[in-house]
Amino acid sequence: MSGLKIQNVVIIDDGYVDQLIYKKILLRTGLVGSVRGFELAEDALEFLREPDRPKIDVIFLDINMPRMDGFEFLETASIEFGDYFSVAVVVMLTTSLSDDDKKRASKFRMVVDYINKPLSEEIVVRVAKILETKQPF
Amino acid sequence: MWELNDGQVETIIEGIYSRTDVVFVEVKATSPAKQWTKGHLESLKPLTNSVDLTHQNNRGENLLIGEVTIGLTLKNAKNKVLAQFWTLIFSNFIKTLAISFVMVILFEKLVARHLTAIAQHVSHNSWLCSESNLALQRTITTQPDHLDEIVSAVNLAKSTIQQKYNTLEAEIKYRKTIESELKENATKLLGANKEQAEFTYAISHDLKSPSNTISMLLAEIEIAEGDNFSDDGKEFLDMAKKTARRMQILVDDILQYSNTIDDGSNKKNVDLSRVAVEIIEDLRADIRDSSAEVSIGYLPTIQGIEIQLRMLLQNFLSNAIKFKRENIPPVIEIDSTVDHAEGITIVSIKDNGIGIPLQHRDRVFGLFKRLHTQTNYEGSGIGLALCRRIVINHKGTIQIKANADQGTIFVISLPVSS
Repeated sequence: MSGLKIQNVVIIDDGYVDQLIYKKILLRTGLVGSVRGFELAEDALEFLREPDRPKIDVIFLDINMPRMDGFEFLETASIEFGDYFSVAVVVMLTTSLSDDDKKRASKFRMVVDYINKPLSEEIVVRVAKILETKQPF
Repeated sequence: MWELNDGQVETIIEGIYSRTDVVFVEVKATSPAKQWTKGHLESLKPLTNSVDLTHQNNRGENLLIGEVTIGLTLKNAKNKVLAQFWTLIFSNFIKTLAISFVMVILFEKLVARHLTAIAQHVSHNSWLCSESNLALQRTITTQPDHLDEIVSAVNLAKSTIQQKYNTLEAEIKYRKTIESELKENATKLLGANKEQAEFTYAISHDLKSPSNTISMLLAEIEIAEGDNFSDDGKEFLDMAKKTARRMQILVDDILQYSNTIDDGSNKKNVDLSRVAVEIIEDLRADIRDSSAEVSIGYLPTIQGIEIQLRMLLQNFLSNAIKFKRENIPPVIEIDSTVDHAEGITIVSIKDNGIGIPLQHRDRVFGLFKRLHTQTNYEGSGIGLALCRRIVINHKGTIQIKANADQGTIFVISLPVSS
């Protein structure tokens, strides 16, 4: 592995166990610096509002979550952070097999990839390659 | 010798000539021969007749003394007859006219106004629907006449048509009710399909997600601890991974099934025997825990949807294990016969469990219908409803029979080919 390529990762997924495993997989690749996990999208928004937070390279986002789902998160963040958020990088990570969800996700500029669970090391490598041309948010 | 007095003869001739229609008078005396003539024969061409003039002498002898000829025309008679004729015609005409007038008035009074009343009654838009019958304003006669016949014919026709109309109206009303019920049901069906879609979506997350998590956890365990496991442990881990994988496949299959509801297009040959063996493999843990004894007899290959047929047999088998009698290990027999003439496979699943009371045998196939509390037997009440739907999808039937040794026999008829 040629050093860290993804400094800061945010995972938004209501499954605590899934998050633990994702963290393990992400870190095992040696490409990722730090991983922050949020079980509620609202908490993730709260974090993104902090003025002195580190810049985020990629957000792995689940769709089906209690209270605020993945799409609501994208819409809320788009409104709240405006154009600035449009340069962020979001990877959908979901169990949804619905084509409608996939189409809906592709309408958001910041969504660069749509992955059906489970997450694998190969996918992390693929995401790292996409991030080579992107700026952290 | 007779000599006729000139003056007298002329007076007589004048007298005769002056009579109507006499145009010619001639008297001829024989001796001495003399002739008196008045009028003309040529121009008027009258009818003429001659009469002898005789004189009876003292001895009583008739002596011819002359001849009288009178010429008559019928001109006046003709005029008279014509005048009488025209009088007759005219008077008859007047009489006929008068009688006709009276007849017309009588006809109007006795017949025509009633005919008009009938016509008005019949031409009225609502006469078929109105309660009142046709009745004419006339004095009641003891003997019914033609008008009465027409009136009763009209009223009979009306009541006949009214009956048919009422029948039709009732039929239309009935059909409208059915139609609105159908519309309502169609709406409900659409709602049900939407619910189904939402249910599918929920399954995709709620079932697929944990099975994914289990797979990932098992993979992590293998990475972290795999080398430290004993051979048994490694084998169990492997079996656990396979089982989790099978669970994921099953969840995917359920999704696929839900997505292809009412779609019989993907029917293919399904070896029920292989499916049954795979199900027993899936249920191995349950079979072991309950010390169940499962025997599979002959099962044919039929045309159908494999995932559905798998779910069908699996539901029956897991039910047979679940609804066992206390302290009595389940004994389950799956067998089938093929009715080649009818092209039907009759699959029977026989258990020695608690059985289903006769009065509940229809009920158990209803969605979410359960006969037990969650404390006694856990479950959602979906299983047999799903089985029934699968059998209906395959154009088959399900029956429940009581097993002589206490328990249940499910008898499923399925067409061999679709």
